[in-house]
Parts: sequence; structure tokens; C-alpha cells
Amino acid sequence: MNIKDFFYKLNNESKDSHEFILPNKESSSDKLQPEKMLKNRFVYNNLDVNLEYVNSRFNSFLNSDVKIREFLIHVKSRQYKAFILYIDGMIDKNSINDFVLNPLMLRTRSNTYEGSQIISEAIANNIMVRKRKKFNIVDYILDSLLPHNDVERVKSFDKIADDVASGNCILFIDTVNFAFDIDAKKFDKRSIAEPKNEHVIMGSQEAFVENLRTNTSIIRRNLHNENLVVESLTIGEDNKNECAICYLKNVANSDLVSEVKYRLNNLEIDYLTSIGELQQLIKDDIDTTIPESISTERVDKAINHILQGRIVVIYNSVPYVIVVPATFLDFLSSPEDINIHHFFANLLKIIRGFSFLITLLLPGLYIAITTYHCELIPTGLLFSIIASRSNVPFMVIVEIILMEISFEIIREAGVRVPSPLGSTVGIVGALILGQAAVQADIVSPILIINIAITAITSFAIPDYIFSFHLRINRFLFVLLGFLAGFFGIGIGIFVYLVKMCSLKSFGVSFLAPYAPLTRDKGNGYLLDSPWKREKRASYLATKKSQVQKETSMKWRKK
Amino acid sequence: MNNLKLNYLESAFLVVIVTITHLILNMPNTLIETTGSASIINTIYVTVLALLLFSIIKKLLDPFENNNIIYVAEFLGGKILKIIITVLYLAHFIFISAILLRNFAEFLKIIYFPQASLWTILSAFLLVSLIVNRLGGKNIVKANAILMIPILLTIVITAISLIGKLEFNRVFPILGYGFKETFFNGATNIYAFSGILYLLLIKPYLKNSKNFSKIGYLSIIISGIYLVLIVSALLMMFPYIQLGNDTLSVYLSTRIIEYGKFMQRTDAIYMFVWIFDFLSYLSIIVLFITQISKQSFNLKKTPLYSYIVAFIIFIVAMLPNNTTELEFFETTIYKYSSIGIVFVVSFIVLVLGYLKKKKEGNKIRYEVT
Repeated sequence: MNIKDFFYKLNNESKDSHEFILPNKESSSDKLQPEKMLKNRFVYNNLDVNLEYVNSRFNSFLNSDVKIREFLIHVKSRQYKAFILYIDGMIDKNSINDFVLNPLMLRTRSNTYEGSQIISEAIANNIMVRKRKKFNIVDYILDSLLPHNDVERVKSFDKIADDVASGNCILFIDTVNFAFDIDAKKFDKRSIAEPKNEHVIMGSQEAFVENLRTNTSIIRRNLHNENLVVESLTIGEDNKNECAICYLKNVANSDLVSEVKYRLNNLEIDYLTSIGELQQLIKDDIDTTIPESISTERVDKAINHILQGRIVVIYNSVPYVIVVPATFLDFLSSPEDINIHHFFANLLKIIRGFSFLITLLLPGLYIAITTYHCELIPTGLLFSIIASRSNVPFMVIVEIILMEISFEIIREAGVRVPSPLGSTVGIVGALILGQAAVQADIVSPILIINIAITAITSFAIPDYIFSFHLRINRFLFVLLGFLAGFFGIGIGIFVYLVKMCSLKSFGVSFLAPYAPLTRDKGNGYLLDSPWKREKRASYLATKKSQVQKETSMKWRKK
Repeated sequence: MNNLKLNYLESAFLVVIVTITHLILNMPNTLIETTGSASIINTIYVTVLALLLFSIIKKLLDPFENNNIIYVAEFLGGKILKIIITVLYLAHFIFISAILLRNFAEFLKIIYFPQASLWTILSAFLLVSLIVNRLGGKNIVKANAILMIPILLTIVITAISLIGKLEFNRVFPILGYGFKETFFNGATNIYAFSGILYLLLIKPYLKNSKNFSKIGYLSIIISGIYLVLIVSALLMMFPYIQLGNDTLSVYLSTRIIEYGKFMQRTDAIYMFVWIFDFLSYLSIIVLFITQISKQSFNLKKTPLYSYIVAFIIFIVAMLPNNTTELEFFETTIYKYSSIGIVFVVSFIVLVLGYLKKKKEGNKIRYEVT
């Protein structure tokens, strides 16, 4: 190849190769028309029209998993054309074969029986009087030919489309202007496993899974109360995913239930794929990163909240549920608290309270003390800090931000790397790099201690989202500490506190029961002994405030 | 009338914060300067006076149900008196907050920010009070109630930590400059309870107005206890002649507190907590200014009004040319303006309003019979 050819090729090579540019917008607007036309239709009397419509709506010629099986039904020696519609992989094939196709297609005593159905019979004056039901194909099929436990009549194709997408099988019969919606779902799903992110030592080891029905059944299985209500609704237009709200009808505040339903029913979105999105879509104050609902994978935690009078929102395809309303104290409480002696639990709660303060404030306080309030540090320690920082070329704020960001990177990498490598990243990142950074005089050892303590305490916060919020806000306090020492941090805390006071979670003050201050029993941060947990939190305004009688340990009384 | 509804403790702490803020600054010095070694007795005496005065105020406000002194002024002298009283109160609030703000800012500048300009510190305070006022008045009061716990605790800790350094013979002679100075001239020290002004205004904002008397008594008792505590500690700590020349004696006393070898200088920690106190106090003043202006002038654009108020506070705070002038404003003008507005003008309005109400009541009764 000579130079001329080389340059020619260099200039023209791209023109020869395939190039695809995605247009900004679908150019033809009339392409949307058929989709619009397909909406809001009802089942026709004519099977062929129905079939054609279904083929068009479900793109059955394109979709390999949308199955349509045409067949003949035998009813009283007469034959009707019919077809079933389902999505392969989402139904129980055996159930469809045995309890739908078999009884309808095969000639059996049921479908060849010529007589009419007897409703009642009576003998009067030696004369037998029999009341017979007038023959109706639909009733006959439903009563005698479909031995299935969940069959519904549906008329709207929109409902049919939703149900097929969720795994139901639809039966269409000629001359009938509605379809039979048969619930024969069966698909592979993850079995109930241990919680992955919310470990406890003594508590239940059951966690929610992705399937909504499995989740509601776990709750039902663990909460034996006929007042437990599981209401279903769908969220999303393009992806109509199921969502359930669970509460105790005789405990939860009715207005609260209505508010949760109101918010969930008024989400105008095409699709929703995560519980985090849902949490943000239903929160009161959208300007803050403070979470206003609890997300949990633990069944026992969710049940405990339902029993307290809160509402649990379960969203299909997510192994986490949302609990509302939530207060600040809930984010510092762990499901382990009720499993251990209340004295230990309270000790842990106090430790978590300190962890909250340290996570939020420690780096900021460090910078404030070393920059503005050196007199707080004993002279010996102050000399040692100054000596350790003497060779560090950065200002203390740069040093802190550098280390904080490095730590966040290590944490993020630790989450992303495959699990066998996770510990390696931790060791390399934290130990080797930290040690090397100190030896290279990039950072001071005291700062490493500071950052490490902050990082560890952030893990002591039971709620992941809340911990995240603290980690982000920590940078703000670092900046304030750098700018104005304790004065700056004081300003930050004051504004933060007023902001927290302004927050509400579904009508409940975020800082309840401390702002506004209530002295009712059962509200406090610290746990009472199990025999003194007599009342539900008053800020939840439950229908039933009493949890146990004043003397719960009746056996102690003689 | 508005959406600011306060519960029992939140309201009581509103009054307490005023006393505590003044306590942290120069009020103990002024009290001790007036009555010398009799300050403890004098403080107890003015606390009792304040309680008595409040019981009279309560009695005078009773016929007006859920209304405050602004309403009484309107009832007594129509819109003109209402506006006069409102303007007087606004001027008082703005003056006090500006002087205290300047004092605290000067103090922070001397101790921590010698390089910073005064207006920066003043602006920081006012900016915060504006931000939190945007977040809602109710939330400031809630935050104040939470912050009162550490604030009150630090003062108790200060007093306890000083026990080893106190000289008890400094309380003698027990009657200080004499009986007359302690009980007659010393009665002017009742200005320490100028927080009563909030009690005159707070009634419409209460969730349950039946708690009004409880709120008043509780707040005066808490304030009184803390006054006695700090005045006693300072009196026994420093010679009272020296105290007259010192500023920020409470802060000075924290500088000598030691907790073992590790914590030899803890004043910054106390200061940290007192910053909350001051921020809370300033935000509450801006809130009250906005609320009473709303009530009297039917204001709609309160955020804009808050900005104007903050700006005026800033201007007034910048007025004193030096610390001597500032001290004069704080110890003399503030003292007598508080007495004049809170204990004289308000009292007269209340008494006349009460008499008018009673007269009208009798008239109605007479007409009915």
C-alpha cells in the first residue's frame, strides 16, 4: 500500500463501513395510531375477530412466547370453536392441560350429558317436582367444565392484556362476548432466603423475595390476624406492576391508609422498577435526602411495624418493602433490639446515637478543632498532631476530602467487584493504600484514624439510605468546620435540626416524639422492658393504643 | 389567625431562651453591679416579683380569652393604639436583637475570628435566621425546645464545675449596698425577665390557651433558677467590683474549668452550645417580629418582610461605634427600655383594657337585666 492509498483509506474507510445513527424521534406519527386503536376494546361475539385482534395486540407473529392454541369445545354434543391465550414460561402447563383443555376438548360424561341441570327437587302428593336450570353455555362451562379454582369473566381487552402479561391464561369461546380469565400462574422464582443486608443474630432469618404473592403469603403466615388487610393496586402505564399495601384494619389509622392509597394511586408514570424510586415518589419533602420511609428486606421487621399500626407497601419484583410513616428514631433502631434484653438493646441504641453524631460530625469537628480551637487538645497531643502533619503538603481540608473520597471509592468498588475479590479490594484499598499514603506523607496518621472511625460508625447505622444521607452531609459539615470552626458547625447543626423538625412522613413529624414533645408512654427512643410496652406510639394515632394489659405477666400474681 | 400552634413546653422554652441568652452575655454583670454581694437575694427577690407580676398579667388577660396584648391595645384605643404598641414592640425587638447580636459577634470576632470583618459574622447569623424562618416558624420553636436541653445542661455543668473554685465569703455582706439598694433600686433588675414580653404575645399561638398560666409560671421559675445559679457562681467566683468591668463573665468562668489533664480548656465546647442558643434566640425574634407584624398590619408577603427585618437588625447592630457604646446600649438603654416597654407601657395597656372590658361587661349585664 502506498502513501496515497493509505491516506485515501484513512479518509474513506468509515464511509464504507456500516453506520447507524439513531433518529431523534420516530418520524412517522401515524405509526402510533394502531396502538391507540387497539386500546379500550371489548371482547367480540365472533371468535375470528377476537383471534385477529389478539394476534394484532399481542404481536403474536413476532412474539415467540405468546401462545395461542385453537381447539373445539364439546358441550352437550355440540361443538364450539375456542382458543386459549397465554405466555409460555409463565403458566402451569399441567394445570392448563388437566383442568382446562382436557375437560373441554375430550368427550367425557360431563360434556356429553344431554339432560339439564337440576337445581332443586321436591315430592308433593307423590309427585316429584324438579326445577331445572335453563341451558346456558357460559354457566355450564363455568359450573361443570372448568374445574379450576380461580376463573373470572372478563370483557375488556385491556384487563385481558394485563392479566396475560402477569401470567394468566385466557379462554375465548365462539359466540360468547367475554373471555374466561384463568389464574394458572407458575414461573420460576427465587425461594425465600436469609436477609443479605440486614443481619441479626437472634431474630428470624426470613427475607422477602421478588414475588409479590410470596411476600404477602410470608406476612400472612407470620401474622395470624383476620384484620390483616392486603390491598392490591397497580403502578405504571407501560409496565403495570402490582403493588400491595398491608395493614391491620383495627389498628392502623384510616386516614393514613387512605393517604398511602391516594399517593400510590396518583402516580402518573409509565414504569417503576425499583423500591427506591417508589420511596422518592411518595415522600413528603422532595428537597431533602433524608429518607421518609423505611425500606427493609426483613419479614419480622415489616410485621412488627404492621402490628404497631404502620403500613407496609410491597412492590412486585423487588425483595424490599417500604414501611410508612417513618421517624428519625426508626432509622437508628434495629430489628435485633427486641430480640435481646432491653438493657442491652438500649445500650446499643445509645451507641447508634453516638455513631450517628460521629458519622455526621467527626471530620468536621476534627477540622474545626485543629484549625480554630486547638486549645481543646492537650498540649502533648497537639504537638504530636502538628508533628504528624508537618510533612503533609496539603491543607487539612484537602487532606480530609481526599481521604473521604478515597474511602467512598473503595466502598463503591467493594460493592461492585465480584464477591471473592471484595475482601481483596478492602485490604488493598484500606490497609495497603492507607499505610502507603501515611508513609509517603500524603496524609497524617491521625486523619486515617479519623476517617476509619467515621467509616466504621457509618456501618453502625441500620438503615442504608439514612447512612448514605449522613455520608453526603458530612462533607457539608467539613466545609462549615473549615470556614468557621464550631461557629460554622453550630450553624450547620441548627439549620439541619430545623430542617428535620420541618419534615413529615405521611403526616407524622419526623422528629416525633421529641418535636413536638409528647410525654405519652411507648414513644421514646429507649426501649421499655417487654412487660412495660403497654402502648403503641401515640404519634401514629392508631385505632387501638393498648398493646398489652398493665399487668401482662399475670402468672406473677398469686 | 395563623398556623403557628405551640404546645406547653415549647412555649415555656421561648421565654427561657431569652433569659438564658442574656445570662450568657452581660446580664449577670449588670445584676451584680447594681446590688453587689446582695445579688443572690436580689435575684430571688426579682424572680418572686416576676411571678407576682405574671399572676397579675394573667388576671388582666383572662377576659380577652385567646387574644394577646396587641388585641387589647386595639380594643382599648382602636387601630391607632394597636399600631403604636406594635411599632413600640417591633422597635424593642429589633433593638434588643441587634445589640445582642453585635455583642455576640464582637465576642466571636475577638476570640475566634480576629481576621474576619464584623459584618461577615453578623450576616452569617442573620442569614441563618432567615433560612430557618423560611423553613417555618413552628419548626424553629420545635428546634428551640430540643436545643434547650443541652443549653440548660451546659449552664448547670458550668456551675457545678466551678464549685471547687468558689469563695463563699464573697456573698457577704449579705445585703450588699444596703436594704434600699437591694430591694428598691434592685427592683429594676426585674428587666432580667423581659422574656415576659413573649408571654404577653403568645396566647393566640397556643394549642391550648388553658396552659397559659402553667407556661408563664414554669418559664419564670426555670429562668429564675438559672439566674440564681449563674449569679451565685459568678459572685462567688470573681470579686464583684471586678465583675463590673468585665464582659462575658460566664464565658470567662468557663475558661478556668478543667476536667483532668486531658481537658484543660473546655470553653470552646460551651461556646459551641451557646452558639445554638444565640441562633435560636435570633430566629425566634425574627419569627415574632414577623408574626406580630402579620397580626397588626395584615401582612401577606412575610418572607420579603423577614428580609427587611433582618436588614434593619443588621443596620442597628452596626450603629454602635465601639464596645463602650455597645456596653452602654446593653446595660443601660436595654435595661430601661425593657422596664419601660414590658413592665410599664404593657401593664398600663393591660390595666386600662381590663377596666374597659369590665365596664363593657357590666354595661351588657345591666342592659340584659
